Amino acid sequence: MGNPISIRRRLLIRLTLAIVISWMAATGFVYIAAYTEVEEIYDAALALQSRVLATLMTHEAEEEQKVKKDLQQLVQELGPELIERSPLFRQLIKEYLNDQKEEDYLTLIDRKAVPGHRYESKVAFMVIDGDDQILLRYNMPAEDNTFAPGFSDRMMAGQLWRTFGLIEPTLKLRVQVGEQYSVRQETVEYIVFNSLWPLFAALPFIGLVIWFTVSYGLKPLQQVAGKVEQRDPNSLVPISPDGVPQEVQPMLESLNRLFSRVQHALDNERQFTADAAHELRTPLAALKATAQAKQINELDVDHRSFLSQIVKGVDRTSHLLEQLLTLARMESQSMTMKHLQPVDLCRQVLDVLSEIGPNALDREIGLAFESEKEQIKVMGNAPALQILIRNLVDNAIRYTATGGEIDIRVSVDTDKAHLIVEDSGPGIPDEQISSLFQRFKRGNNTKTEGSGLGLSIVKRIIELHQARITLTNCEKKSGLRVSIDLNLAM
Amino acid sequence: MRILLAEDDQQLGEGLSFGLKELGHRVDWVQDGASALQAINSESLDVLILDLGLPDVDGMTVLKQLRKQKSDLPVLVLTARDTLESRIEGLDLGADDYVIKPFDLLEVNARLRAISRRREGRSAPLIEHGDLILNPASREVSKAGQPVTLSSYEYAVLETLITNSGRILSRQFLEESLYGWDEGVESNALEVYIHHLRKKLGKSLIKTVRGVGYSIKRSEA
Repeated sequence: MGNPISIRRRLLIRLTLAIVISWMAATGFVYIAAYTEVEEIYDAALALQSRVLATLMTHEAEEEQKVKKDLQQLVQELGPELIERSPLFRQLIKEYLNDQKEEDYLTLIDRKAVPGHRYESKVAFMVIDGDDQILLRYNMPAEDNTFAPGFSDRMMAGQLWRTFGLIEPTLKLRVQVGEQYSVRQETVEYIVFNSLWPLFAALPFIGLVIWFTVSYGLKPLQQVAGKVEQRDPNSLVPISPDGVPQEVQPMLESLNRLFSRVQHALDNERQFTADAAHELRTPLAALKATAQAKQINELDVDHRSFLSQIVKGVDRTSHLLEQLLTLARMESQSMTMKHLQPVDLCRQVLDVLSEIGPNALDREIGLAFESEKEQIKVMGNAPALQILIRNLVDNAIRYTATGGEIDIRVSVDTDKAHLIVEDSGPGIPDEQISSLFQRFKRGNNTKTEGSGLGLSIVKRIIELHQARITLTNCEKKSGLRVSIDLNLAM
Repeated sequence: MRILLAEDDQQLGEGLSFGLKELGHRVDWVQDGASALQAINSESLDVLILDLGLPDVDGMTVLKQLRKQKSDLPVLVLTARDTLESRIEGLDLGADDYVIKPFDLLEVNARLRAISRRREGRSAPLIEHGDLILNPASREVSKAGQPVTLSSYEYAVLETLITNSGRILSRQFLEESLYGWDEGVESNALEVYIHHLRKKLGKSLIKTVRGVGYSIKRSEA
């Protein structure tokens, strides 16, 4: 299982993405609209410029012709002698009538003389008269004197220009005005940027709003999660649907249905083990009571021995039955048993020893318990640990002859507690130990006489505790040594 | 002893009543709760052996009914349910003791005797264990009829061990029962008493379980 998905993160990412994408689409539209509008306004301005320029030029030309005409009339009316008298007049006539004027009659004011605008370099114009003579030019590259009527685009000096050409009808003056596209571009960009940056600037704020809104929306869900989390892990009581949002109700309902099904199954199983125990114990009790009753006043030695055999048989069967019931109970309680908590291992050993220790004493078996510390806390389930210890000690008692010894030791190292049970029984031949262990590991131990069920129980408890079991023969004595490594509670 | 046995299982009832008769008791055997209640009212009984799993009126109900009638008839419960809850429930309802099936006939007998002794009350206060007889009133002890002299602490240790025979008592438990909580005790005082007791009563009586405590075996009588 990878990282669990976070609804909050999902919503935040999706919503933010949706907002950004829609804004970007909006930006596109704004850009196109702004561009079209700017194009029209600038084109109109360009056309107007050329018209103003043409009008000015025409006006200038007409002025000049009028002055010329007036001068000619003046010359005719006054006569040449009179004109010769004034040097200024002579000069004027010479210039106007003989077309000896060299300079343009319109001169642009030098940009250095009067501060203007940096965009002036992005504007250009040119006026050509009917004789292809350039009357006025500004910013137009020297090599480019072509005239294009109407609107057109052209490359000049590495820049794209928008130009407009106008032919003045009376004097056939051709006026060409141009403007770099970058001017419009900048304007459009300026408009788009200024209308959109507040939106993007607000994005983190919107993200924050989404985050809190989603959190708020998820609060009921968290409350449900909290309810589930705070429960006793072993509790199967239904979760109350009060205050649970309707979206979560179906989940809660199926959870509650599951709880009740599990509870039902557990109850059934518990009932079954209890019933089975009852059903099986009563006939065994009858058999034992009858055999023992017959024994009391039986004088025949053979009969007494037969009856003893029956009693022993019943005891063995009872022992097996107890083991089976323990196993069955562990299966049905496996859920509750998984709940590990710090448990004092010494306490468990002492409890078990005071309970079954007398069985060893009855058979004159010496029993000794030794612990490195007074208290050793391990992660465990106390009832399960007691069953484990009881099995190990019980097994040791079973296999140890009268007058033998059983040592139980508990020690600790850095992160493990070791529980060691040593008996002075016959032990197990080495080659069988490994096979026993193998069988034990595979859980296939049906043929191990007597200890089969016990080992199954031990195995389950070992698994439950993530512990380790080692079976060896004792070095000094003859018997078996069982060592269990349990995790210390930190 | 006159015993009423309430046990529905035919075979167990037969075996148990036969065995108890062999042990010298008089046994009336009924197989359901209603008859048990009837018999309780009509007969003069010493003890009731009650199976909890009776048909129609179950054992718990019989027990409740019995105690409601203010009867102080001693009750030994037979149960096939070994869960702690059912045991405690039985004792809470006024059972004197319980045995779990399949039980040992001799143990049932021993419990019966213990129950009736306790019920008869303080008139027969002698504690017997094998050939030992303790008199709690005079704190006198005899072994095989011969008086044995014990110090009061030695006597206290012995009595505690014998009344708890068949159990292993921790050193802590014994020391606390000797001195109370806050009296300072020399750490090996208990060992000394045990040593004296062994010298006076025989080595094999008190068993040491190293690391756990001391124990006296169940009496076999």
